[in-house]
Formats: sequence, C-alpha cells, structure tokens
Amino acid sequence: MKKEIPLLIGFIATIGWYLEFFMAGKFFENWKMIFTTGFRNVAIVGLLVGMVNVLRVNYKKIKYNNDRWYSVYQMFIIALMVFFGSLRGISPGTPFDAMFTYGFVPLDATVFSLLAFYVASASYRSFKIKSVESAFLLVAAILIMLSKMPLGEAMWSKIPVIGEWIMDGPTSAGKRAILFGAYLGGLTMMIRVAFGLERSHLSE
Amino acid sequence: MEKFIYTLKKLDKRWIYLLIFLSCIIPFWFPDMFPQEFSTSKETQRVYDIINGLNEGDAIFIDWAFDPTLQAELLPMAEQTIKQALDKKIRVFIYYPLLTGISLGENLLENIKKEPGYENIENGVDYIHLGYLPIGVDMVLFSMYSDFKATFGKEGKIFEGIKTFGDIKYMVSYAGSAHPEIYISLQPRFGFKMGAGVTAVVGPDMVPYLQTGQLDGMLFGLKGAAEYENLRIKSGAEKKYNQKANAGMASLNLSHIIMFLFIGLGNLVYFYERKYKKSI
Amino acid sequence: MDTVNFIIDNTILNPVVQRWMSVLFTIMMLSFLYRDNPLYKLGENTFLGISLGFGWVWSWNRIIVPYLFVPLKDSYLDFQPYDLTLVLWVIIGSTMFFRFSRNKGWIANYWFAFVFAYVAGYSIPIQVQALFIQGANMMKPLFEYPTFFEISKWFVIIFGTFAGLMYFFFSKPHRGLLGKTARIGILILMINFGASFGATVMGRIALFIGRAQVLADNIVPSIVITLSITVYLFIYFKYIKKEPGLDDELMH
Repeated sequence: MKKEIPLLIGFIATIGWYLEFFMAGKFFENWKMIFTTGFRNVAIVGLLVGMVNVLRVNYKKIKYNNDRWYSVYQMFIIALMVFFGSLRGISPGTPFDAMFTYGFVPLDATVFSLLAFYVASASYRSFKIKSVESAFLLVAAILIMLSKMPLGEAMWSKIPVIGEWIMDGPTSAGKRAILFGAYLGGLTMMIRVAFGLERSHLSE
Repeated sequence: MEKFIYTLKKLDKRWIYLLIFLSCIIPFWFPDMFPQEFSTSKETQRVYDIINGLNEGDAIFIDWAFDPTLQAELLPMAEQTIKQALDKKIRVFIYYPLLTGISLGENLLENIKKEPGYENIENGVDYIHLGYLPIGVDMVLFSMYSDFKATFGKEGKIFEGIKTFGDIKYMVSYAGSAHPEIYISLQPRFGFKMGAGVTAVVGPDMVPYLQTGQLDGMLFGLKGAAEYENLRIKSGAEKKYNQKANAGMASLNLSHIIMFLFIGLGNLVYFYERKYKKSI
Repeated sequence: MDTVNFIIDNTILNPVVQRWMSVLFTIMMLSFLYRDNPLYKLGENTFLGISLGFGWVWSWNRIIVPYLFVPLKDSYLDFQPYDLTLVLWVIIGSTMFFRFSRNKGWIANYWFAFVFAYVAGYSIPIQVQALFIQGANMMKPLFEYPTFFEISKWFVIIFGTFAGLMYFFFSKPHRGLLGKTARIGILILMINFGASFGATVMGRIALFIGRAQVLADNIVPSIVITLSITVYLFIYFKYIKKEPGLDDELMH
C-alpha cells in the first residue's frame, strides 16, 4: 500500500508513454492534454504548499534563531510587496514593479557578479602549468578568451579562426564523449524508475 | 626579485578584486581605448539570416529562460531579436519558464515602445507575453503541440492561424544553463527549427548540437550580442538605441588583459619557486 | 489613503530615488568582497524578501486565481460532469501537504511515483533518439563544406570522441594501445575543460560588466554611496567588531 501501488502506477504510466511513442493518434493527444492541465493544477497546489513552507521556516527562525531581526525584516519586505501588489496591481510602472526593477534586479545581478571576482582570484592562485595536461588546459582557455574578445582579432586576424577550430574540434569531441556517457546514464536511470528499482523519490 | 615574488605570493585578494573592478568600470568613460571593429561569427549570422528570411505575418517564439542574474549578456540579445522581428512585422510570442524573468520582459517591451518606430506596436497583436506556467518546459511543449492557445489561456488577434506550435516558424531559447537541451531532446519528435542565445558559460556545451544541425544558429555571450547589434545597425537600425552590448566591449578587453596579467604572475611565482627549489 | 499614495509617488516611483536605489543595492552587495558585514546581510534579506513577495503576488494574481479559483467558482455556479476532474486534481495536489508529516508522508508517494514515471516514460525513447542523432550526424558539416580546415576538424572530432570515451572505459587496465588512446582522450578532455573555463571566466566578467555599466552611468550616486559605505565599513571594523570572523579565512 505504501510503496507497491505507487510503483505499479509508475510502471503503467511508463508503458503508456511507450505505447504512445509507437502509435501516436488522436486518443493520445487528448490524453496528454488532460494530464498537462492536471499537472498545472497540481503544481498550483504545490505553490500554495511552498507559501506555507516559507511562513513555517521564518516562524522557526524568528522563534529560535539569534539573527531573528533579519527574518522579521524579510517578512516586512514580503508584506510590503503584497501591499504594493494589492494597491496598484503588478504591471510595469507600478510600485510593485519598481521594487522589482530597482530593488531585486540590482541585488540579484550583483550577487551573481561577485563570481567574477572569485574566478579572477582563483585563476591567479591555481591556474598554473604543473603538467602537460594543465598546459593544454591553460592554452585552450587563453585562446578561447582571446578569440571571443574584440582585442584578440585586432591583434591577429587569424585568432577567431583558431578559436573556432578549438571550439569545433577538440572541445566538441570532449563534450560529445561526456554527452554519450550522460545519455547512457540517463537512460539507465529512467529504466530503473520505470521498473521500480529506483525508489529515492518515494518517502518511507 | 625575491622580495617582489614574496609580495606577489602574499598579495591580498582584495587588490585583485579592486583591479578587476576598476578595469570593468573605467572603459565606460573612455570607450575609444580599444579598436571597436570585429568580424561576425557564422552562428550569429545564421540566426540573423533566418529571422531576416521570414515573411510578414510569420511567427517566432522567444523562450525567455533567464532572470536578472544573466541580463547583462542575454537581455541585449533578446532585445535585438525582438526588435528585428517587430521591424519585419513578424509576430512575437514570449514565454517565460522562470517567474522572475517576466517583469524583465514586460519592461523591455515597454521601453522598446518608447523608441522611435515602435510607437504603434500593441500587446496581443504584434507581440504577446505568454507568461509563466508552474510546469516543466517539456510538459508545456507537449501541450503546445496539442493546442497552442489553450495552453496559456490567453486571447488576442495574434493567435490567428496558429493552431499548434508547428505553425511557428522559428524559436530562440535564451538561457544560461542546460535549459535549451530540453527543447533539443524533444526536437526529433516534433521537428521544429530552433536557435539559442546562451551565456559564454554554456556556450561550449552547445557546440555539438550546432554541428549536428539540431541548433540552427547560436548567439554566444556578450560578443554574440554585440555582433548581432552590429548586424542590425548595418541594415539601418539607429546606433543610439542599439549599443548595449557594444558599450561593454572595451571593458571586456581591459578586464581580460588584467586576467591574463594575473595568470602570468601566478605562473611566474610558481616557476620561480620550482627553479630555486624552495618555498618562499 | 491620499497620504499613502503621495508617499509612494514621491519615493519608489520617483526616478531620482530609483537611480539611487539601484546604485545603493549594487554597492551594498559588492561590500561583501571586503568582508561579510551587516550591510550585506541587509541586502541579502531584502533580496529574499522581494523575490518571495514577488513570487507570491505574481503567482496569486496570474496563476492561482485564473487557473484554480476562477474555474472552481465557475464549476460551483454551473456544474458540468467534466468539472469533477478539476476537483480530483486538487485533491491529488493536496496530498503533497502530507510531505510535512513524518509518518503520513507515504500518501504523497502516489503522486510522486506517477510524475517521475511519466517523465521517465517519454524520456526513454527520446534519450535513445538523441544518442543516435549525436552519433550519426557528427560528420554532417564535412559534406557541406569539404575544405582542409573542416576536414581536419572532423578528424579530431571522430578520433577525439573515441579517445575520450576510451578514457572512461574502466573494464580493462589502461595499458598498451588502450593506454595510449586514453592518454590522448585525457588531453582532449583537458582542452574541453580549458575552453569551458575560459568561457566561464568571460561569462562571469560579462555579468559584472552589466553592473559596472549601471555604476558608470550614475556617476554622482556611485561616488557618494561608495564613499559613505567605505566610511561605514572602516568604522564598523575598527570600533564595533574588532575580532576577525571565521568567514574571513574561508572566503578570502
């Protein structure tokens, strides 16, 4: 009851798709549409679950954590957004959208751009020619960077051609070797799910 | 010499941060520091030619899979493709797989409307925001092949003659992750034609698909966006409104020179230590 | 209500305030590069608050109400047999709430088993197709433009892919011919990683260039805010928090 029936349901769903692949027809078209709307409706309930979860996590933090003022402040910002949203709507030009464009956009973009600095300092510390392999790594990296910046082309007109060769030849070969492995791994994983050998997505 | 190497070895990382910061910001005040000319790669040219070859009334589908984190690279690309389509009176459908991307797209279209030549475009006639659905892209794609309009529950003149996704001539996926691979994996089943605009980070991962013809054209990073802007300027677009990516090119040059410098100095320290067989 | 509208129009909707806001938030987050500090924490929580609030309001207005509440209301006012499916989906979705419970968590299993298997079901044929397409079309551009440049690339691709796969072949020890192939394979993979690394550096720096453009365009707010945040950091680390934090060693 707790595991066997879900696994049976899973098996039937997989076989259904397998049949669909070989005999696509009108019946299956409707069948897919029903499930797509179904997935959407279930996911909407999932959104509600997520909202409840945010409140739960923040309640715990405010109750037990030392940094509780940050959580209080976070809840205040959420309330402010809800207030703005209910006051004038959410289309461009409203206070809700202004909070997004002039608050969220700089914060989000800047947090990610911090990575630029860490990448720079990491390459200073550890990007060293210690062996033949690392020499290949370094040379390929520098040639790709040169070929993808305008100055490289100004220095020597053949740089983009070299970059293209590295990108199309060895890089794509290496990527393809990894890709074949990934496809086979993914296939195995899917077959395991279909036959109920993989159970990590089910809780006890 | 030894003192110099010692200083380099004990260098505080914050000096590196400061130099990178300055090298990115200073070129904005001196944009003529570096040569501005560069050639167009064939992947970029391909996307431009495909959209240019479409007829009036055809439709393209923009898959806006990025949020403000990646807007520096991807927003100029999306802006240029959308403007190019609007110039040619091609209908533009914009779908957002990420919730936080929506405001970005809505604001972009509002800003485009303020530019000369685009005052008369209308939501629901020339372009439409299809919005976000809380299900996976694969499910959305299956649903779009059953019934395009019902998937999103929107109305408008723009949907005339578009029954399923098969009636759309070209789609471009803008993403900074493996997201386009979902479309690529479903492509043999449905046979649509697609291109991608990706950040430099995932660019190399997309090259195999470009070679097999699964991807028809690709825009690669900030330079790809700048190349696209130049293509549009060459065919008559006004430079003043179409140079977001080109404005960053000088910074890209200078910051990479600083990067090469630091990689060189790091190797100098390493070889000095190895030559004299001692750790400073 | 008029007062509230007046305040909103003169703060958040005022272009000058908006310019200062975006510069302030940018520099607040950048102050993390110096050291973890309360300003950064404040920015972080603003970020979380806005993103959660945005998600809530947006999904409420444009997803939950039009796709769930409006159909539910319609079915209540004018009942059709088809509407039973909607009720059914909502009930199935509600089983997800059981994930919060420890001993009733299995009720959600029915739904999760179905979803995973549904995805697995359509993925199996697709993965096989993708494998064949990648394998069979590798040589495609060679026949389109048969120049020396292209042919040399395709030789590298064919042998490089093979060598790369041989590196991952662990059923036999890497000696003799297999060892040599695996050695070439690892060099090919290294070039691949190098190209990816170079591209990553470019991409990350391009992200910061986007922020630098905002700072460079608003030069007066940038300078004023940078100076005041520097003074704040100086005072904070000199007089308020003297001992170095644990994160300093980890992050810098």
